[in-house]
Amino acid sequence: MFLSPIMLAFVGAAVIPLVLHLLSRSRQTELRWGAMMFLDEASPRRSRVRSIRRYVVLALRCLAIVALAAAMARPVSGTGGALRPPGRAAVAVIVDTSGSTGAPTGPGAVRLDAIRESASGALARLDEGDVAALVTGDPALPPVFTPDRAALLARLAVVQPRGVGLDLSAALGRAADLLAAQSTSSRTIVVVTDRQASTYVGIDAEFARRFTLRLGQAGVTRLLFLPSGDTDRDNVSVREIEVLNPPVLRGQPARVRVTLRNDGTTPRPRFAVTVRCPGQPDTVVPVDLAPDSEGSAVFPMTFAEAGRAVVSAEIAPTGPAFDDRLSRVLDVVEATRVLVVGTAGPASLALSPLSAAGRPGDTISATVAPGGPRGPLPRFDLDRNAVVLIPHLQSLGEEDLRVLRQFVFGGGGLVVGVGPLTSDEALSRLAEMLPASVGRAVEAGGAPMRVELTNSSHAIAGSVANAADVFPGASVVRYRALSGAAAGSVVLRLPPLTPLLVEGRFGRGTVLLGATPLEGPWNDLARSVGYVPMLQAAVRYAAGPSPDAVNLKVGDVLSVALPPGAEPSSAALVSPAGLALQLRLEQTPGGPRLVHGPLAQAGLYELRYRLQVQDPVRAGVVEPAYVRPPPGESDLRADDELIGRTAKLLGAEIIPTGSPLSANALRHGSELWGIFIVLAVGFLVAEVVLARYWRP
Amino acid sequence: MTPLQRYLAPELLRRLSTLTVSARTVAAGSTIGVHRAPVRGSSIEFRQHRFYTPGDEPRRIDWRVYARTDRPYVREYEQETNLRCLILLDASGSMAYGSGGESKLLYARRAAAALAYVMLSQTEAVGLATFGGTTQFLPPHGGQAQLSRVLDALDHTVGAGGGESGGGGGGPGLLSAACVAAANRLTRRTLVIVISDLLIEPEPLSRGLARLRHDLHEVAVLRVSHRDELTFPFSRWCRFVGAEGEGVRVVEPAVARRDYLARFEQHRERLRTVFKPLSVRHHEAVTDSDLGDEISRFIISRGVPSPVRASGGGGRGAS
Repeated sequence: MFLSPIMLAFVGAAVIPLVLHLLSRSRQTELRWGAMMFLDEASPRRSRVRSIRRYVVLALRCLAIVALAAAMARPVSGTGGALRPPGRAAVAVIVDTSGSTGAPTGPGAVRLDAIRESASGALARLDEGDVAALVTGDPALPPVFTPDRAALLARLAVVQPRGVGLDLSAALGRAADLLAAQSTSSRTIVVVTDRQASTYVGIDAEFARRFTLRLGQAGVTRLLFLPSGDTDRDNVSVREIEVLNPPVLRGQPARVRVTLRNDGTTPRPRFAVTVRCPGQPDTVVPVDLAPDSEGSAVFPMTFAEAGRAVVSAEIAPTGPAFDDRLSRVLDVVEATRVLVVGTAGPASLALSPLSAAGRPGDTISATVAPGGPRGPLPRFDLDRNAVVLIPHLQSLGEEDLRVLRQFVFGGGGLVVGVGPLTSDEALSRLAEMLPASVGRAVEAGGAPMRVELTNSSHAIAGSVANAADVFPGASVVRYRALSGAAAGSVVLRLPPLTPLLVEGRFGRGTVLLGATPLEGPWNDLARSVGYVPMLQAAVRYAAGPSPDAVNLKVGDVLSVALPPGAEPSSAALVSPAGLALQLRLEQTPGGPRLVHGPLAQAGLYELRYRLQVQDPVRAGVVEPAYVRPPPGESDLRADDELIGRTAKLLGAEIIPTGSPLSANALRHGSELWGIFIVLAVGFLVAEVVLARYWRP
Repeated sequence: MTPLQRYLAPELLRRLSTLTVSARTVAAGSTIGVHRAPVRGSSIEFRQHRFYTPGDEPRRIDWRVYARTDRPYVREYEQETNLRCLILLDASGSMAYGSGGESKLLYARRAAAALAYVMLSQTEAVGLATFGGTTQFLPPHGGQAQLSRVLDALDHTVGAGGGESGGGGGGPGLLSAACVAAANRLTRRTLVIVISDLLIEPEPLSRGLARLRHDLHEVAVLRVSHRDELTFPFSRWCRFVGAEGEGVRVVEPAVARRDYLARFEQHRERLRTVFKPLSVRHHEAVTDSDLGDEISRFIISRGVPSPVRASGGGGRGAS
């Protein structure tokens, strides 16, 4: 294919040597010559060779002109070599609207203005019939191929910097997919970005290899990079908000640390950061920031109400605006209430650590119920507790069983250990709630045995320092054989395969069954430093799942479990821009969940739904969810060398800042005019050599 | 304009006049060499005294005159000093090449006129024979009237095909035939000066030259060429039409030049191989060169006539 097929008309000039040859023959100078005897009376063979030479030279002259004309017509590869006029072109313009494009470049101007200008320049190269689409990553502006250049420019005018990064690899893949659906002879991807290095970091050789194949499959003939804008990197961002002593308990002081980062080269002494939280006064703290470094400040905060609180940190505007404010949703929770059912009273070996764990400020609040033959449980309001802990099950009355059954089925947790005092009657009554059958007592091989974790990704594993030795320094000498446990339900085991702690579900509740008493005898687990964290983790696990994560990042999926009584049809998700987003209801083993995503915009979202309660004040629920911008987006560092390497990896052509696109830049693949120039020169050289040195 | 001035410009005439001394020296030497044997011991008619010049034999100094005038004069006799010369001018078709002043035929006619002028000025006897075009034969005679006759004959010399630049006649054996014809008509030893482009095969020419040499004539050849014939400078396709009926050849000069020049040089070598055994001196002149210079060089290149067969007159030969 040729970019300037009109220049192919010059191929006709190839007849010029032929005409000149014929004219020179017809316009021969006639001479009356006396020295005829010196003129060759050529032999037929020599005449034939001379004739061949003449026509070879003539052909070389013609070919040189043809090659020159072809070079002027700008042939391109990737079209199967067909000599046909250029067809309709399809262009996918990837417009960088990442947060860095909001960096100011002058009074009232930001980097995105330069990007718009470059993209407009690219769109100006569209010919009639060509189609183009803007790939912005903005859900509000889905890419649509259109030949209407005015509409494209109008869409380009409304794009705004978004508090997200540009996932260049994803954008390239999407552009390739979009172009693959276009029935055009020429498909081009134009990437218009600022010169931020982080945009290009994710492109490696492996991606380039796969993407090149993908481009080939999509028929994309050309990939252009148009890095635009300046290289000013001065920027300070709020990098992180974190709680130093999680979880945040209602009424207990929480230590919130705010981290700032100075990505610029200017020192920022006593740079003020303001922390805001609804219901609390704003706090301003200065932070010293050296160039290209971080600084932080700690804010003590106390929350009077349980629930979700949004804490925000804000700084004076520097660089792009998206990173001048960061928020975090904190879950302010009540302490987990545990009812410990024992036989030995408050001084029991098991109760002592648990009581210590339940001191003010901790996450577990324990109440001790002295168990007895007639059962103490009916005397307690189990609904006030989240978990019932029976370290060493002995006997269980009918009434106890009924109350416990209702408690667990309704969502309560049960942690129970069996041992030498456990009666068969109690086991038989409790059997339907237990995740495994309890058998006879077994000696642990005569030697103290260590306890190990079967699944390091289990929720309980977070409290374990060493999965191969959960209780350091302790051992188990006897245990009750557990059988019939479902696969994957064993949490702890004695090597090699003896179940020690098995989990299961009963109704909506969780049951953890230990094969040995949690307090001894048969073991000295309570002497281990791992005992209390492990027991606390087991209690929290049995209390139910932790609140859904509401601190997300761009690209995450929001998945929220609806509480009992919530109306899924009333649920709505409101974006930071105030737009209502679609939610889908997914049924999961843990109950219905509302799902949206992946989230494409950073900021504070609100999940709204209604509860089926009589109190209209309590009926409307608003749960915040914060999607943070990518931290790397705040680093405005430019790296033209990296862009060059990336372009080389992807086989892209870089159009330098300020350089206009050629008239047919969007149309075709690699131009081959250089090859044709070389051919033309080669033909000319061959012609000169033959004409000069081949004298048959 | 006198007939002489038509061929020889005043400047050329002046140069030829200065050439006289050296020409005389050569001519005198030649004459002496040629005539020494035939005239020895015989009474010869006195013609004039001439101032002694180096090369003259001292015994021929007239001592009486020397005693009277204190200057050396030698006595000259009519027969021993009268060199007979026949200019054999080629007017064949090939001589017609060239336009205007660069025509080979015109150049040859001017050369003939110059030689006649120089030799007649030295009291030699000069004749003219033309062939190829107009065929004429003017026997050698001395005196200024002979110069007028020579010039008149040159005026009437027309190239083959008519006109000064015309052509068409000629053939490979024409010059040889002319030599033979001249030999038949020359009764005494004569210096035969052939003015031609020599675009003929050397072998037939050798036969005519051999006949002249056989008759004890001295032969000198002045070859007149055009610059184009020496360099073959053509660049465009040329249609060469044989000036002597050789036919037509269409040639791309760029291709043919190398071979042409090689063959030209080869032909020149063959001519040398013909001239050398016959003791024929030859000189080559180009039409764009100065005629005076070429005549001077020609006369000098002739040098002292080489000894010819000592038959007939004995000694070194005489006419």
